[in-house]
Amino acid sequence: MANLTEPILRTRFTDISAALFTSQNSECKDFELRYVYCLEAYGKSLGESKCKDLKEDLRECVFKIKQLSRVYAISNERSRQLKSGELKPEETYGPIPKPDSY
Amino acid sequence: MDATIKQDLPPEGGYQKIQYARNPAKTYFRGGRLLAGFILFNGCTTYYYFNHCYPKVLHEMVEKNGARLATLPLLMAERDRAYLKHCRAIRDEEEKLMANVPNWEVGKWKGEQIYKTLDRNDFNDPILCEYYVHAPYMDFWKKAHEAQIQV
Repeated sequence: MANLTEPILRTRFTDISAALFTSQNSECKDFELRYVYCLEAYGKSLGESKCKDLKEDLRECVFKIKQLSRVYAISNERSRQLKSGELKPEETYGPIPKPDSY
Repeated sequence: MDATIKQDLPPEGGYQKIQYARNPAKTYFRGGRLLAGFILFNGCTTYYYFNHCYPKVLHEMVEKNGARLATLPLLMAERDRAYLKHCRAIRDEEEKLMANVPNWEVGKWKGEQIYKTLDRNDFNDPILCEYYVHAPYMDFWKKAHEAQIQV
């Protein structure tokens, strides 16, 4: 499949829905801007290798893959330690946040 | 014995005439006066409400809002302190827990930072899952669904 970063024909009708497929209204706007500027500077084929970090950071911001995997790993480790007996029953939970502080 | 026998006769002078003409209800005022009265009454009550009753309501609202604005910085500062302290506590607890896990570096995933292009020492806001990682699951669930749970 071709590496499509923009529509095949750029007409007025495709521009209407351009605002739907963007992360500019969320917390990831800076990541997206940096990636898109880099792509524009290097072009599509060279940009694949030069803008890799930026692309992965954008992906991480949107999907939070690494952070969720970390949470999962820590949580599993905690239950494993509880089961095997390294953690005492009083220590089942770590620091508990105050309500409404997030 | 009297010779007069009691008979059921009509009263003297005969019965009254039968009424068959129309007898409508008495009208006090019709359309024009009714409208004028409506406008007058509403005008008087509007004047009374907006010039006597509403200023009192407004005064209370202003006072309540002023109190809220005055205490807002204190509450916000308290909340920020609790947030940052907890972020630190989470990191320390993670260090303690994962001390024996091979190839684990605190704050990273599989050897690489979470955001590669950001500065190493920048603070990365935790997501909700991460904030409640050492807490019971129900605390996280309730916080995540607080919009639906509202008591």
